[in-house]
Amino acid sequence: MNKGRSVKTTLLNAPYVVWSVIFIIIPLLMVAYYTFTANVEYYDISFSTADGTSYSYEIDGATVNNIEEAKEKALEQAGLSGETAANVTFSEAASQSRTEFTLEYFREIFSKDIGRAFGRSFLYSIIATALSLVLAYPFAYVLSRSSVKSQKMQMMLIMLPMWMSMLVRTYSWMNILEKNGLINNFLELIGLEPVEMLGTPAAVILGMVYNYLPYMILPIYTVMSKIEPSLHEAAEDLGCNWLQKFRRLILPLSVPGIISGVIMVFVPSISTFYISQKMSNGKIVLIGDLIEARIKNNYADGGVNVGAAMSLVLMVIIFICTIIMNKFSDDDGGNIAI
Amino acid sequence: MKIVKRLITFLVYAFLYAPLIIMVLFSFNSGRSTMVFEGFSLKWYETLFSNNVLMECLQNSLILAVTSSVIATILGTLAAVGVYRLKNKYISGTIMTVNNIPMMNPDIVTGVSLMLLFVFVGTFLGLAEKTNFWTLLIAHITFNIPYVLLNVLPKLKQTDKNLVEAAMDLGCTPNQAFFKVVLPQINPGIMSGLLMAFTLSFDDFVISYYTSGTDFRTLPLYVYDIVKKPVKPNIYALYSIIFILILLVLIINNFVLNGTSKKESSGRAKKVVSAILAVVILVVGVFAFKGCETTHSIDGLQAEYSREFEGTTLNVYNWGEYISDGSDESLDVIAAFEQLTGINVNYITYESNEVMYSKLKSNSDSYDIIIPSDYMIQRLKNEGMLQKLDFSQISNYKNIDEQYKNLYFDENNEYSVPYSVGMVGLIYNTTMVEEVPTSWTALWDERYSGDILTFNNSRDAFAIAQKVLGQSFNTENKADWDAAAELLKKQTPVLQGRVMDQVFEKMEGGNAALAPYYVGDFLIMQEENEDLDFVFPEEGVNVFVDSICVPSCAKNYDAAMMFINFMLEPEVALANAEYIGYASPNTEVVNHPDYSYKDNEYLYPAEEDMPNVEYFYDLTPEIRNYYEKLWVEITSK
Repeated sequence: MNKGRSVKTTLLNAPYVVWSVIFIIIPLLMVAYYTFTANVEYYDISFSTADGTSYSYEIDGATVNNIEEAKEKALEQAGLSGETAANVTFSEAASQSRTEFTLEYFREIFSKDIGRAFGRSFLYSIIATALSLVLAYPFAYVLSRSSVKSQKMQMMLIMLPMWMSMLVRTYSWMNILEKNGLINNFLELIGLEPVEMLGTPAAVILGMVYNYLPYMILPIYTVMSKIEPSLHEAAEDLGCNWLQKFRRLILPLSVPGIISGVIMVFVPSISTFYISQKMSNGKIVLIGDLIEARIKNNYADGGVNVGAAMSLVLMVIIFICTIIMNKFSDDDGGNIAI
Repeated sequence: MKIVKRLITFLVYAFLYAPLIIMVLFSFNSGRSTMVFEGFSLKWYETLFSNNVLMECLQNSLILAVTSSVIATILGTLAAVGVYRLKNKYISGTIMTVNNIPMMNPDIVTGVSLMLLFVFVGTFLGLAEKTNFWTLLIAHITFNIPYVLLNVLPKLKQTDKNLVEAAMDLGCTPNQAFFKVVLPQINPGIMSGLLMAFTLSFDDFVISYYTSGTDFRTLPLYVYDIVKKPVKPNIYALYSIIFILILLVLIINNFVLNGTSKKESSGRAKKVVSAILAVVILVVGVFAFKGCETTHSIDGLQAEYSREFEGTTLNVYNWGEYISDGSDESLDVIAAFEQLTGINVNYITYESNEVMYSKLKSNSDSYDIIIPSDYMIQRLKNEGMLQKLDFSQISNYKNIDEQYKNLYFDENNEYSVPYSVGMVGLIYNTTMVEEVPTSWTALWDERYSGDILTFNNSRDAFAIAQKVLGQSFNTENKADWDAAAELLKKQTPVLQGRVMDQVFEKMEGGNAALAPYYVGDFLIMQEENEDLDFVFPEEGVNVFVDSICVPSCAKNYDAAMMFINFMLEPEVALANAEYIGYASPNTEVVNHPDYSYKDNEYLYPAEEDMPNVEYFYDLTPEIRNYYEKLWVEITSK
């Protein structure tokens, strides 16, 4: 009986375990692989001159555009650049490639500029997370204390904006914040000076808060709605004022929700690329923007490797942050926990 | 206290819904602007349903969201039950840790890592084409499962074990006990997991961006893709429909259905039912509208085009918004070709030469037609990625202007047929500048500080600095690039931003005074804002020729020749030239009496007004890498 059961348990777990290994673990190993390897393209050029001397050169593919240029370069290296084709016979000229271990890409991302982008992403996402918490926490509390019917309705209202494309929502914000946008038009109408909004760090942070606020509200609301109404009454009966009630009852019980929420806002914020690009007029470059740009612009010649290296470091940073966050929580329930 | 509570609730909802209300409002705008409301109109809703590509993407998004969320829910629920039953804490702990990885990982890392896997496996196994739906499906399932698992597992932990035992005591087999006792109890968790998975999948952009191939595009990818042209309110119209539909379902659910049901579980079930209903309505709606396609035909060509390739599928890979698509009463070129020849065209778009190149390099997909720019053709040719064209099958090649033949990237006219010609220049708002700019240095002018835009694209941005410094675009001297980079760094303080597609909104709305961009796009902007004018700066400008090529991976060579010939037909080329707004290399277009840009002073400058032009050449990988690194330095200051 017991054995049969465990076999069945294995069967239940098997599909997901296999899936996780193939599509979660292996891809991460691939990221590491691309970080530390380079695909080196080179040309093998061998030729001999009329007097019978033969030469053989390996020309780095990165320094030439095509095989003709590689041949020229080989001749140059042999000190024969002036030779006419009649005097030189190419016996071998082929494009080759090999994979090499390298630390070049990894080193590249520790440059000052990329470091700055990391720092900026970190700072902005922390501010965005804090602001989301400030907005979401009282809201979730009010929500959890309203009627059951209203709660259900409001849950859906919170989810609804997430159905709209993030891109469209961001575009809509751009209309509002643009130099001649809706807010500035309104300010002008009532005789005030226009304010520069789009293109500032504040706009980027606003974009982050806007897009990820529901991820903060939902987990906090979930834990708060589990606090029995009788506990509230008990606290009040025992003479707690609202501050004491908050400090001794609500806050401690809502910590797991806060932690989930913080992680769920922090992670997408630190890695975003579309929001920062659009809300900053392309002026504020975050780490996500760099990953995207390098992979897009020079995929085949190192871009994908640098992108992988930045992803790897980003991932490590987030894992460390998450582990630290989870130290604050001893909950093993339905929340995100490593 | 009550007021404070109301205020908080109001603030959060106002914040969450403000952009959505703006979106709905501007979907009814009669103008193209998404900032100035010009009047009420339903035209964007009308164009919406005539835009087949958009509708197809919506359909794809729904298909993907439904399949991936259902599969993820099944797998995730199985896994949750499995983990719940596991006795060994270490194993279940490990599974849960791995489960958390996709949630903990930034989307961009998940996307990149899966992309690397797919590319690796793709090149390793030489997988057949058409894997795009599957890669997306796998990616979506992968990031959905953890959310299902985390919704179901807590519900499982809440179930009363005694109930299961009671059921078995009453004669149930373990399976029966599971289906009759456990499943109903964890059902709410499964349903909310399903709903969450659907939501995430429907809206996902980042992961899809990296894992999608090109023949299966979802709605968010489409929205992102239309970057070379202005974003039109028809996207707003589409999302307004989705928004209002869901809102309606919600309201009906809460105010009509709720009156009759008091039990929580049945209410929840109803909610899920109505959510599913909404999806079904959407899907049916999309298919219904897909059905009413208009017919497009060109008379008099039937004799010249055989139907010998009827039924084959031709993969055409082009820039976004770079072909006449039937909007605004234009000719739907693809539909006309399909009708004429019976060939199915799978039309796919890219946003830059580099993206196209990396897709060609990394994907095992086969493309039959690509339309790269000059320098990219040079690179592709050098790398043996192009096929020679059979000009005997392209009789309309005679329509191409001699000056666009034998260009540097295809000296002997073997590989390419020019499609569109463009030049970069300086757009300015006459009301915002003090004098007419004549030089690129206007983009460094402190008087216009905060009103200056530039390209958010390394090579184009460098090109401007290079001309100011009197360099060639194609210098392979690193010191030249360093000098250009220094100059670009000096520009940063006066810049309002680095933009690509946003330039339309910026310039049309009078949000910026100066911006470099492509001349054809200037003409589109000028239609919206008459204060705009254009100049070719004296230092010289970049000229580019986008040409039709056939990559070596093409599988339908003869059908591709037929397509190229069709694209050169006077009527087709005219429709494309009108739609794109760039100069046409086709003499039949340039001399056509109906051509609205005929003799346009910007597209076809007279000999004496012709600016100094230079082409981009392909640079060595070393230089490409070098200026990309400099670009990071410039932009991340």
